[in-house]
Amino acid sequence: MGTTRAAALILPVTVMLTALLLSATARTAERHFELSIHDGKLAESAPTYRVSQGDEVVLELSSDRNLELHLHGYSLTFELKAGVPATWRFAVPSSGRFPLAVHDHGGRHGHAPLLYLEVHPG
Amino acid sequence: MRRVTAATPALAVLAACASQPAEAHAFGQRYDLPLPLDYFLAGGAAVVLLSFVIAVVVLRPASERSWRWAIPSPPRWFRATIGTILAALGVFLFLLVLVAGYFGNQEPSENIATVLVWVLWWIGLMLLTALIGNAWPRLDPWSTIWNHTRSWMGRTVEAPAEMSPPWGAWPAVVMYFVYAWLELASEFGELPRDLALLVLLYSMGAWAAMALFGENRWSAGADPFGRVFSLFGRFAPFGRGTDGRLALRLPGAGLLGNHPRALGEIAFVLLVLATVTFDGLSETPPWNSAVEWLAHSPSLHPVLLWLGDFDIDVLMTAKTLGLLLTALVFFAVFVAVCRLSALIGGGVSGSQAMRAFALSFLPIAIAYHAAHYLSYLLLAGQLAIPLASDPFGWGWDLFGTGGRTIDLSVISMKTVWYIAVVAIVIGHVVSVTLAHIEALRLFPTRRAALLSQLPMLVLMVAFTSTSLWILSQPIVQEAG
Repeated sequence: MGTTRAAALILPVTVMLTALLLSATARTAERHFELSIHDGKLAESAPTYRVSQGDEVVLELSSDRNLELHLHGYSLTFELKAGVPATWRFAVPSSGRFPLAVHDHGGRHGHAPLLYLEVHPG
Repeated sequence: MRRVTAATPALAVLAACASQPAEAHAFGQRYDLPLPLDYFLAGGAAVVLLSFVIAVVVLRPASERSWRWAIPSPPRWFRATIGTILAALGVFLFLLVLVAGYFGNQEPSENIATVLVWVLWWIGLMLLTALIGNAWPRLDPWSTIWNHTRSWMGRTVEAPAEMSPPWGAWPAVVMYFVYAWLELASEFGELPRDLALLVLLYSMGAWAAMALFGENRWSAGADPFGRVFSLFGRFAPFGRGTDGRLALRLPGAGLLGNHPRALGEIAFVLLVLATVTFDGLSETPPWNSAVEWLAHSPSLHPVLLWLGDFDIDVLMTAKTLGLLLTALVFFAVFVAVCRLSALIGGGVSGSQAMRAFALSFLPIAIAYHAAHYLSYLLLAGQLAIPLASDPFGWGWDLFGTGGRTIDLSVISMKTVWYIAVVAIVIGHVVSVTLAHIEALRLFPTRRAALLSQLPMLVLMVAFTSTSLWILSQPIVQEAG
């Protein structure tokens, strides 16, 4: 009987503590997004991904073409090889709505943004 | 059958144009977050509430206070020195735009010409003009160069024009429309070299007009930039009254009285309001959907294909129509509301009401302009720091700031939201107050004045709400 009562006491406490810890760390959460790019485009046209200021964004990328991705505003670029999945990880300390664009090999623009990354103030 | 198959690939191209438009303002990408719903609602509620407070409580009959206080003029030598410095600065920057535009790097963000004209002059100086005072008459390089050339050539300075310019303000209306079209619809001024060419063409036109009609008449009537800066400057706290003396006044008080008289002048004010609004409107998702619809509408296919032969894509067609339509709608609604207002108030003609109330709407437009461009100015404006060291984009480093990049953290979006909502509410309050004061002056009784303001109030709430709504939409730009 003692063990059940102890479990009844300890389990909720553990759950609550875990929840507390999770909510405390949620301020600098990792946000995972999976992007499979075909012919320089996503299945959905220019979706908007919302994250919070201070988050770490993790993009799991795959493409059927060699591409260079460019996050405007932050001026970050990422080289993506055809058929080689890659992970692009970056922090977003400043708020705003930033287009992520595909540049082809001349480094030239000319595509609509792949997606918008909205970084909301905390 | 043949024609249909021949047309199909062309249509696919057209449709692609709409969903993948050419890049616009690549050097000044905007990163604004849409205004959240609670800010939008709070702003809207404040606007409606304050409108009624002003309408019912604030105004006493025949309040003829001028809300301005004369400030002592600085000594003559001081004014002359400041004037000379500003004039020299204006000419220097004008020449810099031409030289950098023609000979510099043709990447817009790496040439000082594009940043100077589109960001610092058009948005930055415009806001400074509204918030502090109008220095454009001193900075104006066209007038300075013209007047100096004339005096070097030994001509006497011409006497002030005794009569109004031959076509009133209509040349300014036409030129301002063309300018707005170039900025908002055509993207022609994106390339530094094209921009320098436009500036040069405009200069030749301006100087030809000055030679034909006199510098005074050009400045007082046809010059679109002089006119728009003077409008924004009338909102500013520092300005010259009708007596020509420098005065400090409540923001917006300078817009009272001294009404636009001719229809062209009223049309110019409304065109300024319409272009400011269309600028934001053309970046909203509903606008984008409208362009998509236009691109796929079967009845418009032949027209769009025909335009495509002239290198005019769907987006440009849509923006041209949108700009024209916005201006016409603004004008039509304004005329209708003024007529209604005159009818309800009684004893006044519709055109009298139009003259009295045209300027009252300007504060809302100025507030929206500030809210819309605040973060853009603070972010894209930073390009001036590296470009001061490397104006031509050739890798110079004159002041050691050549490698500087844009620092996103200068302003938080939360601050932008607060400032945007507060600015729009203040702009609305000033507009409603101005219209009420004008009404009290225009109509014989207080009762008539208050009644006349009902349609005006509805229109102002609609205009302000539209501005707030645009800010609450995500900015859909043709990102590169």
